[in-house]
Amino acid sequence: MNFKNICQFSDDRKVRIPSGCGIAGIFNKHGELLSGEIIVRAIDSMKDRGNGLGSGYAGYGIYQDCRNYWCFHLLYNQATARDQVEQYLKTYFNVKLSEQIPTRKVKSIKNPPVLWRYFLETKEQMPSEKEENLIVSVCMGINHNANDAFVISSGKNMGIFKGVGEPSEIADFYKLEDYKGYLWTGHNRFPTNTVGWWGGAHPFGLLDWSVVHNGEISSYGVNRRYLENFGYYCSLFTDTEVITYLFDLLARRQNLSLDTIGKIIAAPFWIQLENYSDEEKHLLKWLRIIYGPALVNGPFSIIVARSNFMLGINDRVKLRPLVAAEKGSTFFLASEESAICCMEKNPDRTWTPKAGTMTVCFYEKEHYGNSKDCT
Amino acid sequence: MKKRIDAAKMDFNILNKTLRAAIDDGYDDIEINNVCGQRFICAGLEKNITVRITGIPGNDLGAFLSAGTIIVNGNVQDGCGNTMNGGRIIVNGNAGDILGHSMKGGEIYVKKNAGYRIGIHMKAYENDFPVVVIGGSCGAFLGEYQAGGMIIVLKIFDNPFVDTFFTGTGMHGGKIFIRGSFKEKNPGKEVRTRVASFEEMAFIKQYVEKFGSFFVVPSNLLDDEFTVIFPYSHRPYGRIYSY
Repeated sequence: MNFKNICQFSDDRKVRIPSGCGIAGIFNKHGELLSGEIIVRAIDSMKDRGNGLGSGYAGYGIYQDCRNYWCFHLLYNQATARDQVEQYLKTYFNVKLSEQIPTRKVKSIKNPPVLWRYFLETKEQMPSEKEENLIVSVCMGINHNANDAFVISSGKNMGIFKGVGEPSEIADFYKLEDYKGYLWTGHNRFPTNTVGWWGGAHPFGLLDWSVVHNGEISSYGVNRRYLENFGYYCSLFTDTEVITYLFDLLARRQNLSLDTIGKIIAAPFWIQLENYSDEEKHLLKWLRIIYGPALVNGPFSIIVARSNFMLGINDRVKLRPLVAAEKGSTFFLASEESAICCMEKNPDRTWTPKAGTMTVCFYEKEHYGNSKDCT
Repeated sequence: MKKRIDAAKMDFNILNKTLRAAIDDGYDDIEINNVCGQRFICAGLEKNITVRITGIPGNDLGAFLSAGTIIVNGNVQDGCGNTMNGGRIIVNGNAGDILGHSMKGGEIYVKKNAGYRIGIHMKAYENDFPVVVIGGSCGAFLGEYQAGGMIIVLKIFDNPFVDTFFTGTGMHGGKIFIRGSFKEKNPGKEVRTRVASFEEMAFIKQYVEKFGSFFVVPSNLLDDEFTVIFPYSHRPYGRIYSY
């Protein structure tokens, strides 16, 4: 096994600054496309929640012309790593398009890594589940084994743009205003226990999952070891990575409902079980026994997105903020109400979800697949 | 003397500098419009002035406030009234989490609901006696580690998004009054509940009436029974460390 060189980040690791990150998400459940600027406005309004050591965005519906191809965003710390990875990709996929991710020069962003994107299709036809498993193992293969190369996102018709910098700088760098999507999530980072580096910025992605997170996963070690049993390897030095893989494992591979996953990752305290009906109590106890190592402990508020939904969830004792709002067919989530106000001045409804419960908004089925432009 | 400040797109420290300069210039009724997420507004204010805020002020509104009145036309976010020494904050909407964190004096009135950990670490000292009055409901960990002062929850508005578990966890001073009954099965280990006495009702009357003077509320709130949540000991874990 070829372990990556962790030492290159060790200097940053000695720095400890206490604070919280900022997260935000916007989702039009009718698939109307919105410019990336809107999420930048929200995240930029919370710039004081971060310290310029990481920011990123995930957009869904941004590659309409290539919507049937897997889109891999790759981050290369060394340009030389590209050949090795491209060769690896070609053993499994036909490369429809391979290009540098368009960026512009931003003064404050020095020495960015080489950023490349690939639109891929599998060489042989296979059932979608098998195809998704292949994508996961290819991502794990590159992240875990290839030197200086990291898969940043690997879904269809979506992409993750992230790096080290202030939210507005990263948006500028990636020309985010050129993309239009029906779902955007954004993050503003204040690294506490792990390094501030390009791959460690949020969102984290695998297949069409993306996760932004404010907080700290104190169960990281347990979760990480648990996930290794299922072929997920954490190689990005940031605790949020485990949440992405937990969702993929529980929702996609084990086909559990989102509601059940909420009860697993933010399980109620044992002492609270008495307040539930016998049937529920039984279920909660079994989930706790079977999925104990998947419990996510520590303070967190997260936004998890997939092609057809966006959800927000807090830790069970609400140690991080999360506000939700609705306006017509658009659903909002953010760390602060003021950030929602930057996206929509007069929401129909604003509320703060209960700790440890999921707030989910699904794509409305009749609209699925016909994204239209409204900007 | 009145003054108006437009806070649209203004950075929080510029807004606070503008506000302090206006106070130094002798303005005593200042209106701040288009506020959206600016933090620390009115932090450390020491003069007896009135500040009216329209929009959504950011975290830690009125932190270390010593005097004056802040009136907010809208919701406030987390940490409003953090370590407040005196003065008054009136919120015409909802409040976020940790409202009145470590508050030592002054009064906070919130028309609607408030989030988690309201009044955490609140304390009273000599003549300082902090009071928080919430018109709606509060989330879990209400009065966590409360050491003094008083929280009154009027429950005029219901909030389907709140839990009340672990209310008063670590509480060792002060009191929490809740209109009606309190049926939480898992309150903090350090608290007990009982029906408010006649004397206690007479004491909270002035604050409930003041609340009624700021907002339109039913006039007969005090006719209902109130539940008092109080710590059973001033020093619940004293023996652990002393013997």
